[in-house]
Amino acid sequence: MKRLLGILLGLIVLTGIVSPAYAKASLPDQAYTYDSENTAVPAPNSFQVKTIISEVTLGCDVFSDPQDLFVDSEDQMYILDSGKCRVLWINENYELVKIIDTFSWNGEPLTLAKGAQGLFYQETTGNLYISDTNNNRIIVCDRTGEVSRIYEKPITDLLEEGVEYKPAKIIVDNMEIMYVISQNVNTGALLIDSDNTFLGFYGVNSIKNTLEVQIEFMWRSIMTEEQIRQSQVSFQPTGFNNLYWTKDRFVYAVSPVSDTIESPVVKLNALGKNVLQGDTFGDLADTSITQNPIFIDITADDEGAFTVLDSSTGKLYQYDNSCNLLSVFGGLGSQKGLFTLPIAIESNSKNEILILDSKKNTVTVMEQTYYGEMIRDALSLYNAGRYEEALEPWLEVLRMNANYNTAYIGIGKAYMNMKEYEQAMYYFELVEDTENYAMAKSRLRGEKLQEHFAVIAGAVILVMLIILGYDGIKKNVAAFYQQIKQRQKGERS
Amino acid sequence: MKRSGFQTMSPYAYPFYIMTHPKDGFQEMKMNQKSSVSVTVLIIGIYILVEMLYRKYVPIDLNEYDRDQLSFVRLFIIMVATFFIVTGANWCFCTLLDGKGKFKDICYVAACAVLPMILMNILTLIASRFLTANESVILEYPALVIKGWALVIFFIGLSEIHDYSGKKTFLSLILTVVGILIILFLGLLLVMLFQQLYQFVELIIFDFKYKM
Repeated sequence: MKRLLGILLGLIVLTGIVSPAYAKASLPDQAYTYDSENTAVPAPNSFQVKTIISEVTLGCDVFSDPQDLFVDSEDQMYILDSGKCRVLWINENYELVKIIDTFSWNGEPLTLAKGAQGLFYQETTGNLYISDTNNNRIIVCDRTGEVSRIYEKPITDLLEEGVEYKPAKIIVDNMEIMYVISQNVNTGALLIDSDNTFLGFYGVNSIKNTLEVQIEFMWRSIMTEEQIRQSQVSFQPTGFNNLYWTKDRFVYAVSPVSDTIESPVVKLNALGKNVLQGDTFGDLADTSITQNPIFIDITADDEGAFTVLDSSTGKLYQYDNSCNLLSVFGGLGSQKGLFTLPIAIESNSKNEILILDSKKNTVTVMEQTYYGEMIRDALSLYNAGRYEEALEPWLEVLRMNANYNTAYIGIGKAYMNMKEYEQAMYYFELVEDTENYAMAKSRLRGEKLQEHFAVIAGAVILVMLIILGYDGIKKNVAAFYQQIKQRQKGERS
Repeated sequence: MKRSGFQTMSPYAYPFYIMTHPKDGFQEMKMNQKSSVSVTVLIIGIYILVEMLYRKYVPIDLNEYDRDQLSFVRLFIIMVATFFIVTGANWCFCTLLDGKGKFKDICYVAACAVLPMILMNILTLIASRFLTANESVILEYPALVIKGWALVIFFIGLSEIHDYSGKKTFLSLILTVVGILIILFLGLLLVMLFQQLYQFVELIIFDFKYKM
């Protein structure tokens, strides 16, 4: 009997060890968000790996140092496989459509130099723009490899003679005007039209106005030209690393975080002015210990949420259009869902994020989890001003992550719109949002005043009357009593 | 002496008379030798209580204190210690400078000076129910004036009980500040000394544990 029991117990223990619950593969649980005091707190994962595209799933030979990725509005994907001088055309089901590896220009074969860096597919004309960086040119071809135009360095006085023209990242707008980031140029993106005439620079990074800059300006105003030429100090803005063209004609641009520029992530309008509110992106950790983030790519979706890729940590940060942090995912590593050398990101219409890893030679497709979807739903309603509709998703978000700050503010605003000010104040108090708290409080006060206006006004008038008329009342009452007394006396007599 | 309040007034109402008439009030108090310890304890007790209520119940838009770090015990110790350091330092220097006030009197003066601040805190507690951050000025400026008035009361009180001229009171106050710094310095030294002693004993016990 005892032996039987022993065997039974052993079996139970064994099944416990090998039970599938432990074998389930999932992302390394390292998602986090920031609370009201900017300390990192754990959060559920908002993205998970859907599939990984590699030479195995595509059935072609292995990529070599791929440099850029583009996804069009029909979710077709183009990978610039720079090491093998070709472009891979992949459809929305992640299957290979065509390998564009032979290019022809007026009937003659044309080859790309290794290390091409930028790729853009212009949907209205059906042209692929490839920046052939090491040949100092941009080539335009269709999806069969037939090259229609080649753009060399535009002729202009504004580009210095000695500086080599090395087009890297490229975007093209509907007017077929190219926005080109050239290496060695830090004065913004080059605007080049379809006749290869240089139109100007676009959206230069502005230098942060610090005391140091002011002092240097003061010195320069009294220096001679010779001294200025010899001075070592210079305040050069860092150039853009990448651009992203949105459907509503904004351009997102990213640059590495540094002390000299105002914001590493900007959303530029047609005039090249930044329209984003925030200027801190990436990890909020002490940068004296960790490295500054180096943002190398950015992608955005139709609702205005954008994701930036930091190559120093391999992490991706997603923000909504008011620069609230939505989620942090990715990281450096060889596990699924981590990257060794992430180089480009894109998003598609299903809100999936695609990350190109140039060392792993894969494209990782990340899809939103239920939690991530809830945050997105809530925020898109919230940012549209539909606070009451956002209440349900916000509560759902809080159920999964009680550390999510914006949820409390969202719920508070929903209650404020529903005129439940006390509830709203409770939620604002939890995240110490004094501004909204004060607003809810003053509205509550206004409502109470309206409700009890008769009582309050009556009380005030009464008190004032008593104060003002105290002496008068006293006199009148005294006189009244005297009259009564006199009357009584008269009756008696 | 326009009127003699002390004979007719209860000792608990007298601080209110001092609050509005510090010069006359303290003179009479000194003459009758009637600084009450129980009144001092009561006022300081109420002050600590009101301060605690203030920190806890004034809504976030008007409350400048961090409410996550609220501890009644800590607040109590800090306030009582502050009270005794200030009064103690003043007593130390004023006895050297021929001050006539006893320690009891100094404590009474400090308590009377604190009284307007209690009233202001109570007012803020009530008003913060319906005032918002936009109207915080309504409370901030009176609070500033009240704090100034408290200082005035403290100054007049000290000059009366020690029988000092204004100049000498000012000098004694500066010396009091120096005294506070000395006390804090000595306290810090003491704490550090005990810390080292504690560490030393701990180390010996640790060594014994592993070598036995």
